[in-house]
Amino acid sequence: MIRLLLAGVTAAVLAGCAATQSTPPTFSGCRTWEQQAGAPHLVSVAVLSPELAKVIGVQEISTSRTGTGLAAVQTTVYNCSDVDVVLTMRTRFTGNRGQSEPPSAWKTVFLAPRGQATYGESAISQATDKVAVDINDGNRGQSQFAPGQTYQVPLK
Amino acid sequence: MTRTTAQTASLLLLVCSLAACQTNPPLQNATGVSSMDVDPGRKGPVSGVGVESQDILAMTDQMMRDMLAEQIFAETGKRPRVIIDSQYFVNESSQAINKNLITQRLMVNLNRAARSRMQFINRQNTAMIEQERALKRSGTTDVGTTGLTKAQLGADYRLSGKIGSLDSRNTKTGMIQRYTQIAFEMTDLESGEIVWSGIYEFARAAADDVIYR
Repeated sequence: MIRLLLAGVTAAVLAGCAATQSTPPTFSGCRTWEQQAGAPHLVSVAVLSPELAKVIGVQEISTSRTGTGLAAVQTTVYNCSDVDVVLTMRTRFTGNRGQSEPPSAWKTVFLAPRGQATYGESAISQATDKVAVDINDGNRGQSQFAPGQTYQVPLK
Repeated sequence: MTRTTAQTASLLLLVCSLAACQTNPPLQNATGVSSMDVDPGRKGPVSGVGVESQDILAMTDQMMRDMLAEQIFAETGKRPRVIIDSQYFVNESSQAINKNLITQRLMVNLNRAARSRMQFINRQNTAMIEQERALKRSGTTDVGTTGLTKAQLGADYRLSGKIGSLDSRNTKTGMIQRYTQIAFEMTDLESGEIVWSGIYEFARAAADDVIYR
């Protein structure tokens, strides 16, 4: 009777495990953000989702001026996995005296399996001369801090 | 008390208890979900396939930046006059939406970012303006501090747009997919030329019970 109960509980636990998805594997030779973070040419980029850092990489970030003289940024990202990835990206703008304008809205960027995509944004203030790009997981909802709660650390 | 009486009393007590349960069922989700502040620029805890707050923020931000990158609105000293309101913004989609949320946010952000490059005309409240002008000219009030003008400002450009959608539904799974397209145009009010246009589009799929109002 106890053996039957134990078997039932184990089956239930394993069924729960089967329903959880793990981070998709990446193809060999593809450098993800986990390996890139800290690179000197990518200091203006921040990947805010730890799970996403294992799956995408940032090719380059380049700045220029628009036809009306405003600062503009272009960032190319790539997908190291064999599944579609949805990102949201935004730009933060700074000038000589700190933040020169509010951050841009989050823009959705779709990455096909093993594909690349380019995100671009332009400033609206002439005081902007530096930009920084944030990258987040497009399909992840907001999680709230509440006193007394504990938060699961993503498994490595 | 005889055995029969005791049994009857117990039965009656049981029936009354059960009846009480029927008329006062336990409240479902009694503790509820306490209110939380959510970032309107990101997907919230209630999310479906239609236009949501993150879309309003994203599209107005995108259109504003796109407009300000346009040469006709560059810093030339000459400030073109624009009307940005929802009068000619048409909703042809399957979702009920307050179009003012889009046009108002766009106007406010443009006004704050580009006052030196554009003049914004309030055409929605023409009656309000005419009422005050009449009071000043009739002598009922004084002329204020900015003086009188010959007429209200005429506009050079006006915003118009369309919201459209395409729905598909899997009747077996209940999954719904919706493609939404929001198109913006700035039209020259003298020549009819479309001097600027922008588009914001997305497609979402879900099998969730979400009602939009």
